[in-house]
Amino acid sequence: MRLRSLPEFEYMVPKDVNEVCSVLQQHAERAKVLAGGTDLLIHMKHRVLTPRYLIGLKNLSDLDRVSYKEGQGLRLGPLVTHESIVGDRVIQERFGALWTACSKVGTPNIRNMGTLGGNLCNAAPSADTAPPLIACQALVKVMGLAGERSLPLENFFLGPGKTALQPGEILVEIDVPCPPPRSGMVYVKLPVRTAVDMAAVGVAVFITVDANNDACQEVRIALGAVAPTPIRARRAEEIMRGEKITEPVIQKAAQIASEESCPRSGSIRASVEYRCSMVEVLTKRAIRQVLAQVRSF
Amino acid sequence: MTELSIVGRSVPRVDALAKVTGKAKYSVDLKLPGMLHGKILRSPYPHARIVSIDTSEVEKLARVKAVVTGQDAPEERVGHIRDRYILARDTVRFVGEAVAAVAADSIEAAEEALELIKVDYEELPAIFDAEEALEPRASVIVHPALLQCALTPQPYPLYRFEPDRPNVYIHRQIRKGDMEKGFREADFVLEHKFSTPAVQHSCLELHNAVARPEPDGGLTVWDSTHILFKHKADLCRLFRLPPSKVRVVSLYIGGCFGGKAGTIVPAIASLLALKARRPVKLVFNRDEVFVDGASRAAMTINIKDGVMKDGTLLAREMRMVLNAGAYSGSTTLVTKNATFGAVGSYRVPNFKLDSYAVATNDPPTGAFRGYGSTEVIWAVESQMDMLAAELDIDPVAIRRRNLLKEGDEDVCGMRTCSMGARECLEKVARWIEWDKESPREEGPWKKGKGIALGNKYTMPATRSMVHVKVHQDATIEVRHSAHEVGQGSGTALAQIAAEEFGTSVDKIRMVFTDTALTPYDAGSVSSRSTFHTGNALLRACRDVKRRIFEMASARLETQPKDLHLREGVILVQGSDKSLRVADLFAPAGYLLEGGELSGNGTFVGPLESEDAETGQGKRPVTYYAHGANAVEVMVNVETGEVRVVKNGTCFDMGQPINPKLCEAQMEGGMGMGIGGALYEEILVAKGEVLNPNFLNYKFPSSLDVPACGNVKSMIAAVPHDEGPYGAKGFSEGGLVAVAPAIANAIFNATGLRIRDLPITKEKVFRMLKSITDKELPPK
Amino acid sequence: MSRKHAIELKINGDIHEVLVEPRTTLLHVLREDLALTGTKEGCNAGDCGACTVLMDHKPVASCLFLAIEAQGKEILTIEGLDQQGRLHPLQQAFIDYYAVQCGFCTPGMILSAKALFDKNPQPTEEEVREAISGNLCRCTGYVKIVEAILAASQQR
Repeated sequence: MRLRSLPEFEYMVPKDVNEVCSVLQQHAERAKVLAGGTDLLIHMKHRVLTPRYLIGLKNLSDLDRVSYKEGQGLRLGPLVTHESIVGDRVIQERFGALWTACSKVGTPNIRNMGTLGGNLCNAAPSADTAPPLIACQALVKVMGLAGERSLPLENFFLGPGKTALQPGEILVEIDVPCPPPRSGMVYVKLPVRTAVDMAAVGVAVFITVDANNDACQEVRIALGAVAPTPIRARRAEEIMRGEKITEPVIQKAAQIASEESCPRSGSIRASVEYRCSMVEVLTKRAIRQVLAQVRSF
Repeated sequence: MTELSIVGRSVPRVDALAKVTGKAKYSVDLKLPGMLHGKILRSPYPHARIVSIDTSEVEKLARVKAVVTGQDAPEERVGHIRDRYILARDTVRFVGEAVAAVAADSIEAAEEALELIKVDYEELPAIFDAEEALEPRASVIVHPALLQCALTPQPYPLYRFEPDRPNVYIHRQIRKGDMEKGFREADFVLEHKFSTPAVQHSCLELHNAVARPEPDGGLTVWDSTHILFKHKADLCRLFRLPPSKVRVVSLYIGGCFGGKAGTIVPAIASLLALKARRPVKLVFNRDEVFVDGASRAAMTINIKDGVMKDGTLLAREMRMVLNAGAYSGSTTLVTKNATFGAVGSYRVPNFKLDSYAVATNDPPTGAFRGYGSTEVIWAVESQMDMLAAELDIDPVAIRRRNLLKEGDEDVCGMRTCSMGARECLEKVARWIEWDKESPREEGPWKKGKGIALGNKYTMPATRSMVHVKVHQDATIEVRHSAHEVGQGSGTALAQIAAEEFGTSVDKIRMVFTDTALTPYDAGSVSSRSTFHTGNALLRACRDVKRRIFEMASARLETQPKDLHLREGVILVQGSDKSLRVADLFAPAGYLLEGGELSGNGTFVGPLESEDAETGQGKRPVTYYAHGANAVEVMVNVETGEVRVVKNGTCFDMGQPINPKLCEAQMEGGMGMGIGGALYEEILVAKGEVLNPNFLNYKFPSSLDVPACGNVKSMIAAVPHDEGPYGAKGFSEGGLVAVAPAIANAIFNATGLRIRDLPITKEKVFRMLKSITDKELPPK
Repeated sequence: MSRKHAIELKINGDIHEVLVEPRTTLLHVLREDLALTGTKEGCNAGDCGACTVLMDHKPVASCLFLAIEAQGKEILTIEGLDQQGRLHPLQQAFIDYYAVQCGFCTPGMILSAKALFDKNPQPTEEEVREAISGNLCRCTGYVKIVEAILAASQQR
């Protein structure tokens, strides 16, 4: 996989979403949308992807908006950059896990160029923005020539680099519901070196506590970089749901989360063992941080 | 000695303005009329016979102006052992070996042309394990005709071949005393094996050269390197050109650290340029640098020590094996000189060392800052702490006990002088508050302190020449060939010239590294420039001043010895008579006495004979710089993460020419040392580099080094009689003691001893886990 | 070769008309077509920061930015920082605090620091380190670079 100059392609700048969908439909696999380019152009330089047509999205200013409405939640356009999210006070205060995730993507340069939509549609198993959004029960809106449809973000990822986007479709919105009262959320990440690449184990935890502040009314744990797609640690959540969040419960939940994300049979490579252990460590850390958050309200 | 006014002061760098405005030019910035872009086709196999190469499709392309293969390349080869064709001929020996090259009118056209070259390979068995390759009956012989290769001449003994070990490039020996007796008399014997991985210099400026064919059949080459006269000699030999027809120029260099010593890049650029009859710029991609950028060889170090109860070393036996890769490059000399890391610091009455450079089908390796000392000191300084732990002696005390003193003989038989190690050790120990008990735990973080000693030799028998010219306006022009790779050689030399002429640095003009204009220099290698080029400069300055004072003494009716210079004015001791330098010239600009006001100085480094069997010699190195590091680390017991929170370095480089620039070298060494200690490793599987990029090969960012207030760089200067103003040289040295200091601090924090670099969090975690698994009672 | 597009780029306050293929990166245009070689190539993959330029006051990796997408933006390179020979305080600080060694990371480093100052004129050391975390330097260990940036911020 040698690094090279970019391959040849044609560049188009459709005037609206409809035109984007038309072009995507018409050219299918031979066309790709260009958001920040921080993933796509690298894939192209390595000849992993060689689209004949790149679709510039600079005319779609509607897709570069963030809006928040009390009671309704957060509406994010796919072209919002990670840096714009980091600069948004509302997101920092109310959707802190997403804020943290965006602040940890790449480097400052990459954060100024890379977009939320790009991060999600690139669908790397280690996409930082996915676990926090999944933990918040985000919905994605997708537009095609046949119209618009919505689906939970959790169902958007089908495999490494594969999303539920059909030919001719483009991601147009990410909706994050308002967290209920007495909720907290956190995203923690640790770079992990496997044999070849530096993946990152990411854990997002969302908890709503009861009026006494000690029992778990609702919990969602989302893990990144431990499976072909971001996943929910549902068995770990079961351990916690309805229970008082004591130290033994935290330990147990973290241990189950680790088991859920790791193969149980056969010998595993040392690097995989480390990653599994870190799921446990980070899940514990995240749960404790969320508890500290809700208890400080 | 008279008081110094410029030398010893931290004047601003003379090249800083050009660099902060983006105006400084590097060879990669050049654009010449008619220039083409070169690209290299590389072997996908670690070991194969080239059956055929078909370039016919490429030759049809209008945009491609030259295509070359091994058949077009010179028959002469390169390397310390001349074992490498610049383009492979019958055999490729590593994944990534250059097989063909094209020059086209754009990089894209050149890359596309490579796709059209058809190469037919017949794969051969390959060997990757250095220990396996070291064996007399190794399954694969990388260079069947190794012993028939010519050698690049060196002024000192280098080669000791091992005809019955066909993959050994060289074997180096040091023998002193009676090992059997030493170990027998020891109270305690400790033996361990350490290892360091292959690491990449990762200089920001990619490997590159621009070659232009000249009408007389010669070449001009702009070369990103630190050793331009060696490259010129190679190019003359490769292309059968007389020295008068080959000009090599280095502009500013965007980092080197030894990685640009090889001649492959300018040679292939030259080959293409001569074939195309147009200038060619050849630039490696980052992944090419990882594969063919002469990374540092992986090394294993076995070290067996016999000590007395009080920590006195009686006997030390060492064995080092370097995986030199597919071609000898500079690693042969590294294998010899790395051993000085084990020689420069301690007094050991009985010493035995064997080091081997071994050929494998891994990528070829070469010089890397420290020239092997870093890896050897990794082992020695880790072992010193392990001895201290076993004997229950303080790590600082055990080092003090065994340190060489002025006048002592080291294990090579050289008399120790300019030995500042003791003071460096004391200074860093005091700074880190070594004796003070500090809080040991902060949540999951355990804290610890560690110390290590280091040294860096400078090789013998090299020479420099400098030319100095004084202009009518009393500005001084210095023509020299010490490369500016970032270390500040230009500034240090300007300060020396300013000191000599009693003027300021802004009156000094530097003309550097252009073989058409600047005289011979062995290069900015081995931390030699301040000492060697500096000494040559001193002599050149004094040569010119002698002329000035001769001319002036007549006019001033006094003796030359009563004269001195200050700000372009010749002053007379004890009188107010004076003469301006300008007064020695006619208004039209020529010297009244004829010609120019200039002079030369040459400095030749010491050369003493050396015994190839025992490594004994009076002067196997020119000098050693000595230093120490003290660090404080935090180890996270949950994740295995290690953070270096404090680093103190102290070095004895003799008289510092520019203290702030010396600090800068220590700080840079700290950064590189932290990378080597905790993160860096070139991962190779079946000869293929798996992480040839900055995404997966991590070296420190601004977040991975201690806060400014927790970094201290100190100087403990012990002047060297032979150095300019007592200066030695030391830029490499800032690196050598960092990794063992970190490992020793990790041991202090957690009781964990890790002997294989890098100390990744995965390794720490695994060791912690295996300890806790044993300690915890079953649930 | 793909069809070439005539585009207009605004760089350091000047308008430049260049002919580019869609695949031409901003880095390539700066260095090859406009002779603005202060912006450097270190890895061509967005990992090292040597190619940093400011786009509408924000630091970006010009090796991953298509020139054709840079139209309509205000681009600042290192060459545009000093005003008729008067150095920006950051440039002066890099000289005064010995923050330059080989100089290859320096342009990108200074621009990242400038972008930080535009948002946050009095950063803490941690904020400085975060802002330059994408500018890799192999020579300095970052110590004097951070000191220079902090010193420059104090002067404003």
